[in-house]
Amino acid sequence: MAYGLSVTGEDSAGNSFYVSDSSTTSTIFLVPTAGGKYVSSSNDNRAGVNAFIASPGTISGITSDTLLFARPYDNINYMYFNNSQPLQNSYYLIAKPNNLLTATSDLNGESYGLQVNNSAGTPVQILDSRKVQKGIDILRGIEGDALTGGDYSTASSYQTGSCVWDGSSQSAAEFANTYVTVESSYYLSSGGYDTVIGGYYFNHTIRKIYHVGYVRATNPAYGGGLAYKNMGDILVGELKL
Amino acid sequence: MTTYQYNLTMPAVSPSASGSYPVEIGSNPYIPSDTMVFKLNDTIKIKVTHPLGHEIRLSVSDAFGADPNPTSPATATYPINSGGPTSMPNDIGGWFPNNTVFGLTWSGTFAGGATAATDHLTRWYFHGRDAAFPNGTGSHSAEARLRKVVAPTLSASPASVVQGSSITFTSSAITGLTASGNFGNRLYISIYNYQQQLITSVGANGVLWTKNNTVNFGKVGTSSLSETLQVGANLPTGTYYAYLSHYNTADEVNGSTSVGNRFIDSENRLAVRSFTVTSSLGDITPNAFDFPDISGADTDTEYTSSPITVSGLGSGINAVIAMNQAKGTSWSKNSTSSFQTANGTVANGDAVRLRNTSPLTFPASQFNYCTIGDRGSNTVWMITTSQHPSGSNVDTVPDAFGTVANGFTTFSPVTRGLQIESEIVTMTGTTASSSSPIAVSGTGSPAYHYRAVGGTFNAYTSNAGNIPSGNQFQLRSTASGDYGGTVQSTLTIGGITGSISSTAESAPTGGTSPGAGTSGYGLALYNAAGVEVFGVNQRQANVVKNDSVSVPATGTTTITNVEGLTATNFDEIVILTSNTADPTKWLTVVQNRSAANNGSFNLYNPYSQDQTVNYFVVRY
Repeated sequence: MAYGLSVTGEDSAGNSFYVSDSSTTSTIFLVPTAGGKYVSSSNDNRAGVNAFIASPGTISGITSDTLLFARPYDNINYMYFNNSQPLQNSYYLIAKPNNLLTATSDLNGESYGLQVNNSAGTPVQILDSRKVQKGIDILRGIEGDALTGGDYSTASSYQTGSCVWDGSSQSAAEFANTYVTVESSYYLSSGGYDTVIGGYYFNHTIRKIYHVGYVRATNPAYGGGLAYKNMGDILVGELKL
Repeated sequence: MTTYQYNLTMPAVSPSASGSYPVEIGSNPYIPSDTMVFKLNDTIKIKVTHPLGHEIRLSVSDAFGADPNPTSPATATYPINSGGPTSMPNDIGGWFPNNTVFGLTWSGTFAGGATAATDHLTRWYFHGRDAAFPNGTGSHSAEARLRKVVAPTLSASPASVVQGSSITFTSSAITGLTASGNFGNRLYISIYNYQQQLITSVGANGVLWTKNNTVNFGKVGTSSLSETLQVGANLPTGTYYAYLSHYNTADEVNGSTSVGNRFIDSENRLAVRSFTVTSSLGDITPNAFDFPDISGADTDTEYTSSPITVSGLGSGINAVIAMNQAKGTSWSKNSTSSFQTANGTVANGDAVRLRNTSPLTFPASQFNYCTIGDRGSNTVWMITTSQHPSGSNVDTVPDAFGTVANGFTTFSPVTRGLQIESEIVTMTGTTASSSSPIAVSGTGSPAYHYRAVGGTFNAYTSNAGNIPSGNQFQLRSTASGDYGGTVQSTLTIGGITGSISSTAESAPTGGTSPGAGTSGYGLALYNAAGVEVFGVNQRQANVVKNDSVSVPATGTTTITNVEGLTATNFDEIVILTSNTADPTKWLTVVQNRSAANNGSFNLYNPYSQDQTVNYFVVRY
């Protein structure tokens, strides 16, 4: 690039990754908007910033331009979503493209900082530091079909193949601020069968998140069932606030 | 509606000679008192010839039974003199040219008032002079006596006759015909099989008439209405027809001088009665059977039919099975290897196969006929050669086609289960109008199809076949359904091969991108709480492209201009999908990630209805 701003990060393995680049034409920073922070059991404002949802509720602010992350309450293990509606009480984060945030209501209160426009024919503002109050550090991206499915199980084959995120090295607070995307999640109980697609099981004790996906008879006496892999890609991110 | 013409030459007898007028009626012993016998609606004609070539005078006086009169020739052709009539029919006095043909169609209502149905006789008189009119005196005369016989009905008793037994045919009362004698004034009964072939045999293989046992037909008359037929013991079973006919004296029939059998030709028929000849052995009529035809056969190659199972014969019946041996057809009973051409017998439950050699030419058909019991002579097993030649002088080896340019190459990596087609290749190098063997082999569910140039492809098939020269073909290979699986599909035409190989995409890694490192330099943003919320030490999410698109049923929609996307950078860009319009259709498959088209991928809809799919491409 002859001019502009290009920022490249470096991961813990020494590989570079994209942070921001004004020479792009359509890649726009997703600014975390909703979402509260867990610091400790006595300092947890996740439920106080209107970033929780009790089942069955519809999360407001969800559009086709937003990206939704969620996690269940700390005393709940399973998390099933269906069309942006959780089946369990959950916390969530909503990330919104920088250019769709307004300069009047979404500012952090500062009047200075950094703005980056891209190189589209009509330049689009891809980053404005005044709109950034929170961050989501993407911990892992998971390709579709990579995780085996089934219901949560202590079997090693399940836990090895269906582990979305191993946060055993995280602190309790870091894990409590770790979310997953639920774009491809679906749940249906009908006709004597339960179907779970893109579900999760949060083991808060050992700080691991597992993928849950299956179809099986509601009545356990019928046994059987099919395990579904993760049908879509998944992102795991930690709220920075 | 036959047209009979009797050619009458007037004898030299003066009309004025006492007791000698008229002299010519008919001299046939089978109708001694009439000139001609015919049926309702027939056309009768009398061609009159004067031996001296002079004119002919027609005399049609009702007083002498001349009703109806002839209606032809047309008025314009007569008379030839001023002394004759001015219209037909108008009684006597007309003079006509020599060899005039006088005719009448016996139908409807006649000019004299009678109806054709109820009138059975007319008499026409002809005279001639010994010099050309108006000179000379009467020297020749003749009468044409024309008799219509009413078609009676014919009954048979019994209606079904066993081989070796007799059957009696009886005519209803015969009207119109002169009283019959020993030979004269008879009607005749002839027997035909279902192929309308006259049964002429006498003896065990044919029939024998009781009253008329030296000829091929029986006879009835006004005073003897019945005739008995002895059916031969070996007369083939089946349906037969008994026809009742009158004698025919005509010299010309339907305009032709080729007059056939005067007793039983088809134009003389008055009535018909069908009857059945059954086997003395019992029920030898099997259920209908059919040998499936063979098409696309090679030339001069032996083929064996699929078997048929004999059924429907009487209990314990061993029915004769016969081939048309002129065709060289052989047959087997309960065997796939022992065939014979000679007749044999089969019973219920026997499996019968036919065998024969296909024609030497192309395209051509070999017809094979098989008869079991009394069924099947019209059952054909046909072997038809394909539209291609064979022989050592025919080149069925095409030019090499398995080139990269033709799409016969290796593809890797490809989406699991992806169907890969070669280019459409036009086959060259083979003899015109020939065909070459074509087959597929290997893995990847190989299949091919072909078409004439400008035509439509047939359906993909994996079955071996023949492809006509100059046709276009295409090989299809299906990539492995397993991650990293390899397949190789091979197409062979006339010994020449081409292959498509592929390796499926590698298994997902599950995401190997480590989290961001810790750097002491670069760009970082902190919030008011002093927490780093953006910068080189965090992998932040960025939307690259998102939209809602329609994906056709069991089809794909391609998304292009996905900035930064490559086939393999799963650890940098993820594609999230959902179906908010119908969450029950939760499965959408992301395929063919590629850097092509400024970054592109396919959305595949496995459902049988169109779907609206939301996608969200995130770079992190």
